[in-house]
Amino acid sequence: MQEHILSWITFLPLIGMAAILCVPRTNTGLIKAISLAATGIPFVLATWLYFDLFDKSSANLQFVQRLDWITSLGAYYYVGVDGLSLALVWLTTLLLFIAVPASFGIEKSQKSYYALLMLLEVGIIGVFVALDYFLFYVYWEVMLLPMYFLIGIWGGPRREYAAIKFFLYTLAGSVLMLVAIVALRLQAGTFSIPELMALAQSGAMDGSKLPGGGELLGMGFQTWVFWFLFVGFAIKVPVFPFHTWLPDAHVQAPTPISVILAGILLKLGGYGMLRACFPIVPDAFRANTYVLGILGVISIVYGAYVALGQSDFKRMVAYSSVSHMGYVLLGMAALTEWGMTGAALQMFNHGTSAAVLFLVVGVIYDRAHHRDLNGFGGISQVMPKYWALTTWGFFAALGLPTQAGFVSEAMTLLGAYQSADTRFQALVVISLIGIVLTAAFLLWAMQRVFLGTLNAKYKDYGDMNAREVFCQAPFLALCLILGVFPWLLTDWMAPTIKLVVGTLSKSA
Amino acid sequence: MSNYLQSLPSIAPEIAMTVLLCAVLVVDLLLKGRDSRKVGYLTLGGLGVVAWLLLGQWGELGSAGAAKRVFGMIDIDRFSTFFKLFTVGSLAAVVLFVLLDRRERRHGIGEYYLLLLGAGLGIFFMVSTSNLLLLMLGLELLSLASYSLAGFHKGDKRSAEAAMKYVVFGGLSAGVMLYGISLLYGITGTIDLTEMASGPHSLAAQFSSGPVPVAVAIVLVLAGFAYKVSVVPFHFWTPDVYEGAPTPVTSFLAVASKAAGFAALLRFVGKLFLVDGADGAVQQYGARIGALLAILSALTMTLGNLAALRQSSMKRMLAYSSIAHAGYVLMGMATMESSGWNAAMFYLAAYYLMNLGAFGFVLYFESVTGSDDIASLKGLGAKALWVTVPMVVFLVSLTGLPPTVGFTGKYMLFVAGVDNGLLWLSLVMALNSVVSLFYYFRIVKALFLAEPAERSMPGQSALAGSIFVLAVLTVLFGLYIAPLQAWCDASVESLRLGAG
Amino acid sequence: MAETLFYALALAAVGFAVGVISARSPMLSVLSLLGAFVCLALVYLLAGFQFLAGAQVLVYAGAIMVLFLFVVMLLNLADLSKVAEHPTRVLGVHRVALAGGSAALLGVLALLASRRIPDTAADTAMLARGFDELEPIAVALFSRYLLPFEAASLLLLATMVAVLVLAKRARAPQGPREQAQAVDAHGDARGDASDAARELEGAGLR
Repeated sequence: MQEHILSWITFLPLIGMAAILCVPRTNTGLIKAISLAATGIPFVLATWLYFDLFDKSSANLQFVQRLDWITSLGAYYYVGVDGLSLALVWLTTLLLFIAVPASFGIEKSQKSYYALLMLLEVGIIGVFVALDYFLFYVYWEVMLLPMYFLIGIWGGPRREYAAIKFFLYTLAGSVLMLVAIVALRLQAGTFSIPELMALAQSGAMDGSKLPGGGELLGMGFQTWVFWFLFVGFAIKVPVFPFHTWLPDAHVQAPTPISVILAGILLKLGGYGMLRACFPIVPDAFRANTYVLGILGVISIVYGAYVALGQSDFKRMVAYSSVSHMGYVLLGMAALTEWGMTGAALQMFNHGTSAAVLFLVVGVIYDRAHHRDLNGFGGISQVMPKYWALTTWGFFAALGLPTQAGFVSEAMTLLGAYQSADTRFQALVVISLIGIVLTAAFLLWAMQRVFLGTLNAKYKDYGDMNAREVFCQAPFLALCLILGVFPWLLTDWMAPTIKLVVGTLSKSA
Repeated sequence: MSNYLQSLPSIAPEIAMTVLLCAVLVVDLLLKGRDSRKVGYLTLGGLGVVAWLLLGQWGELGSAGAAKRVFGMIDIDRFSTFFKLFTVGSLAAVVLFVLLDRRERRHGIGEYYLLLLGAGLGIFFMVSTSNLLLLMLGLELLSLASYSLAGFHKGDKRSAEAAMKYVVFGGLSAGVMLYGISLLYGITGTIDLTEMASGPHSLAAQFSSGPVPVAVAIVLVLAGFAYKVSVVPFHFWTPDVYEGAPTPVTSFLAVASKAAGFAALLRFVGKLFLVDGADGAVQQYGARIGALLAILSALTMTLGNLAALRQSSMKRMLAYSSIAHAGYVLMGMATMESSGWNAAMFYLAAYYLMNLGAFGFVLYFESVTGSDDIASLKGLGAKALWVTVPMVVFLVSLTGLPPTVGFTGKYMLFVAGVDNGLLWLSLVMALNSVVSLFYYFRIVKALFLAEPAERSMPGQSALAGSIFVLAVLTVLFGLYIAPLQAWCDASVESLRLGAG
Repeated sequence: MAETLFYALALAAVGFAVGVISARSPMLSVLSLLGAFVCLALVYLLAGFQFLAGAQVLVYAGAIMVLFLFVVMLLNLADLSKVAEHPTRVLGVHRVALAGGSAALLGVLALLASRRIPDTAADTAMLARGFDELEPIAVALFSRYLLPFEAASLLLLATMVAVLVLAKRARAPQGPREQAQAVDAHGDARGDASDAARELEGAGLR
């Protein structure tokens, strides 16, 4: 059991999916129960793995399993975790577990909904644990189809457009990745990500085994491979200018799916860069850190600026995600331990704070059936609990001290400021504008929705029910706990981050 | 004469096909056109026997590279056996489709099966001969049968128009190809590919004296093949014929006929330019052919996909998509390396599974809605999950997403391309698959994303079952590719390509 | 001299071939085809293939053309002329233009190519064997080319069936698209062939 624990965590939802498919459509109670079990058990397992089984002092990959899969292509079933991926696996299992009760309000073809949700979890966890690039790619793509249907069938009025746009954007990125993966495989003779990293360290990633030195359109091997992989991941993050799918997808998706999108799917991009892009083509990465830093800062400022202009509550939250994920890129590009740790923390913390924000939007949308920020007013009078929790969530999102967002953003900016490349100092200064703008749009939204005179239409609204509180509570708690005790994450991540920064900054 | 008698067992599958064809003819006459389904069952059974003979032959050939020539012009090797099995498989599927087509007549259509068998026999000759005369005869046998199959529903204007167009374009291309062959004969004094490659008047010997006639001849012959596999700019007939022909026939044209064209093309190019011990001049010439194929491949996949974007009829859309897929297969060929050819063969096999499935789906819903319009599928996704979910699998596979056989095939093509200096073409193909997603998923969108529609669905469980089996295979071969890959490798190996 | 004659005959054959598809009356079409066949027979003669020339005249110009004429006379001429007049209506103007352009290109290419075909020893060897005699042809046909010979017979069989399918008057219902979903149990509802079917019959026989 213990040595196969990663496979259990990955495939239990698949078993759940199979079980759901066998249940008659009308028995929704049983379907929900199975979904809870199929997401709850992996969550328990992941918790056990995180706090007990995992050796956090080691930077090594743990719970590694390597089985033959498609031998003729050289692909293995090769999984394992280190501190970085384990934290994200844990977050995934938590989010999906919460997503199930958060979905109880959905009435339309529930059987298919929960089955697809299970399949989605398999894909996401798979990406985090995969160490074989082929396997990684398969999981990466497996995720797309359930997401397409979840947005497309259960989404808002423009769901068809949003779903195909999400799919097309992600696929455009991933086909570029596939070409890069093929080139890497031919150059290195392996799909194993750790082996690829080791080869990169020894300077073997030079395209010498490909015809014509692996050049494409005048770009050197590492350069184009780097950009292809980067764009593939950047679309997912999303980094400006690849972010335009995100507002549509987020706004049209049903609340639990928005939570998953913002909470986990965006992290896949950042995680992918850190695990499967930068360390594999380190020379190209080093040559382009400043460009990445600039892209990060543009995302921070632009995301916040556009969020300020939104009147749709959900759209505003969606753009705030663009802004928050900009820190991740900035922190990684700085190439310092602080910056990298900040980026990794930010990924996790945005996962929790964005989940809260989308749940907050969901609560009011379920009652009012619209999300126009200017159409509310004085809600605090009828829904005091909701106001309290929302305030907490907003403070977490804008990175007030004692909240997790503060720690990660501060670390990111400090880390960027320390960067060996002094041009990053200017970027840090610019990104401060983003922080101000974030505070502005969140507080303004709070004012418009909760304060002022109560709109008579809403005077009968009931406060949040127990299920809604239950869904938000764990994330709010995490925001506070990790704001006070960030070592609960950093201790696990530190060895990995140290290793990654070490390998990235050392030229071959 | 006696050695001819000894060679007879080697062409047992062909003989069996001929006997079956005659049996179908006689039985249909005896039945006087009543209950043609009996003829269909007979055909299915006969095809089973042929498949059994072919499997025996495959095993008998033993070591992968084994090949022998009988009657001085038929090559019995795993390459031809692979494609013959492929053909028998698609014929069986098409016969099944005809039997299960609720809108097809049950009486007086015995000729349907006979023509299908005739087309199959033509393919058998095409894929196994290196003699251009027999190749041409096989091609014509296939074409003539296909023309009348396309026009089988002659009361239907579109079907009649399809046949008419097919005849005109087919006749033109056959003439072009025949002209190329006659030039080749004039240059080398032989119609045998092996002798052309190595004889005293081999092409190699002619390169030095005059490369222009050789180039013209080769290009003309290639044009004939390009027509058969619908490569741009010889693709004009495809959408009209695919749309107008009865759906089972369309699936035959899209799968078996196209694969046969590729098989003959592979053998033609392989025997002339990639044989063991070909000298430098020949290899150089081969490289130029490769470059030509690469350009055609890029054009074909791009134009096919772009044109497919605008289609509202599923059959037309699948026609353009089949053009695009021909471009993908050409990319594997253009590497002029056995690894690329393996990938091309694998992709053809993948294409077979997913396209048959997709046409099965079209057939299923044609009998429900009476049209093949994408819009007519609106909201029907939940009505027949045993068919619509497999369709999603086929479309995912056609797009080239894991975990399906289409993805594995695409991946192998990428590897072949990147490894042989066709990185740019791999990139073109990658971007093309993004475009293709957009139109494939219009079907998914109509099925599942629209509001559920009220419509009674007639039961077609046998057809649904066949479609489901194809979907299972599509996923299975995506995750476990070893057997399929081994078959493809053994087939290409038996062509005995040189180092290239 | 022989060369001039050859070019004259070849040109005439092409001219007749163009006549086949451009003639307004089917009768003229058939007669043009006859002319093309005769020109080809003369080309064979010029090359020294007496037997082939004879066979060409006897089989094609004699037997087959007469058959064609019979059929054309029996069919409804008015309907056929509609098709013959407007090939563009069926095929679309741009496609006809494309096909025509390609054909012209091919012609130029062919001219280019044929000027540079080297002499091969095989030609002379074959001529020396006496290709115009019956016996070598028969021997080749039934030994070396036995298989293609059989394949050709199958081709003819398939063609025969194909033509039957296309030409058979629609005794059975019109074709499934116009049919109701339920298939008629006896399958012999009668109906006149539509215009399309008649056009097709013409096409199949021409």
